[in-house]
Amino acid sequence: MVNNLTPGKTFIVSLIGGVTTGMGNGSVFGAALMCALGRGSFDDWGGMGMQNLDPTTFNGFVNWCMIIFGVAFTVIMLIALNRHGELEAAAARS
Amino acid sequence: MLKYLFARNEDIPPGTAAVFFGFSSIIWFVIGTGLGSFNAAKLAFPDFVMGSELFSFGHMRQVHVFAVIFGWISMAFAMAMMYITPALGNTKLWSEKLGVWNCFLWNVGLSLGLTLLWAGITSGREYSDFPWPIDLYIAAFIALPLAINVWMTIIKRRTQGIYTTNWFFGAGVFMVTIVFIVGNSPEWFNLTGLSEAYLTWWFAHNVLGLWITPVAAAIAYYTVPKVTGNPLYSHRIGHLHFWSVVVFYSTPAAHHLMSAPLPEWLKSFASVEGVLILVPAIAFVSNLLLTMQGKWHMFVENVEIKFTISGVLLAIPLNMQGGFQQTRAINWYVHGTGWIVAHAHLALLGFSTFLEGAAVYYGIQTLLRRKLYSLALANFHFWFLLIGFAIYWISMTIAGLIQGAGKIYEVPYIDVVIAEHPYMIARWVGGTMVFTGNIVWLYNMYMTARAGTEIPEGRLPHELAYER
Repeated sequence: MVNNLTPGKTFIVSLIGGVTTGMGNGSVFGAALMCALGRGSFDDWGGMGMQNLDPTTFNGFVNWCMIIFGVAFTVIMLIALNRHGELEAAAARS
Repeated sequence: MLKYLFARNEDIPPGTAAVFFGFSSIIWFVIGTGLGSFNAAKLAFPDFVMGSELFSFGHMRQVHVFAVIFGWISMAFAMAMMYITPALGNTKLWSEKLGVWNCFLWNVGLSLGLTLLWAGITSGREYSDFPWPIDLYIAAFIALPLAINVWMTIIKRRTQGIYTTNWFFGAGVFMVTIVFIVGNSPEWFNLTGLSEAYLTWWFAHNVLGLWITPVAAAIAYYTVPKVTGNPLYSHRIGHLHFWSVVVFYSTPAAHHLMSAPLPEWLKSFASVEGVLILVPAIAFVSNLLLTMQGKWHMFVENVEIKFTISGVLLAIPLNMQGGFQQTRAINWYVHGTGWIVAHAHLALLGFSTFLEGAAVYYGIQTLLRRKLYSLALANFHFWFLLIGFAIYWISMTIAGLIQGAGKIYEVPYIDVVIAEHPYMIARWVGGTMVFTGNIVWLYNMYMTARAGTEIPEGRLPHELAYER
């Protein structure tokens, strides 16, 4: 039996599962952090257009927290599934 | 269906009620997500379908919500209960005839209730919108017959113990009946003000906490061990999950009203209980993921496991958000924004739908003794559901954060509307993908019933290779 859980085979499911899971956790982390830090000047609210992805704005910072958590969870899932695949393939061969 | 309504119980083939519930649930899912796509189009393109109040967002919104909750989710639960409860008790369903009548009256009552809502006849309270005659109908002809069938099947079981799934099923039908009757009491007793608000949200929260979440989890406790062949990692953790749901998930309703003048102790208590939701959540997720040991290859090879494990993974963000978004600081930030809409869809369209989808896929194949018609169409359904949901959830969470930031910075409301407009379009795209996937699913399951390869006696559907 070969490893059926290589990053190539699990990339999309890891990407979506990881991004969704990570962004869910990142969203509460970012929101809690910005609640603790408080608001800046009016121009920094970060809702309009590309300001929403500018980490120096209030809202952009929360979005970046989500993105970083999402990427991190995707990488964790890719590594974890690959290792499970290797173990299962080795167990099937022995 | 009509010929079985008046047949003798002994003459109705086992599994008939479950199959009717299964196909009903898929049809309601298509209707519900179609309405959702329509509603999302109205938010993305405000001039879409004008001229009739029947097609205004205010009329259509609760029809979508109720079609999905009472049509898709609850009927998929009923389907799962009709075949999993007897299977785990090594017996038959207590009354197949009661199940068929239950399904028939469910479809009739729901169609009537949704027509009334569409016409604008409503109690006016979110999630308990049905007028009181429909409430009584639901209690008498939908909830109670289902509960009796499940309890009697468990009582008449031929096994010594009761498996975790049946604990959840038996308790779920009991709790939802109580929640439904008490939660709709404001209308019967003409309650107003805070009493009405608190009971309304007590109902709304507990439908999620004591019906949708535990019953969906119960399905996963059956699907994963059954399809992988692995025993459940820990029954004791399963019991921890069950009892912590009962204790912690029945009390946090006041966290929906953190800015209302409810007693402060009640809000603090609800908030603490809300965080403690993480206890059953971690128990559930860890138990199921550990049950997968040695069978992770099925995550990419088997349709039912793909759906179930995706649902289990989505329980992680669901409970992280749910546990913490209701604490005072974060709630002040996100209350009344699209974040909450995203979170509700994470619970219903993400976590629970994926688990129920697996139960319906597996149940229809098992009961009809037919292998899934097309793996390619099932994969199409899975990916359209998952990608569509992810687009929906991410865009709505970001839109909610924009609305929250706009609230904190006191940005003029019209500027917030302009800022979130691109995300409303993305929401519509995601919702329409889900709708499209469900149409394909209905076709695939219809073809499975008509032309799926027959499963030989003594074999199970997941033991056979996919042919198409």
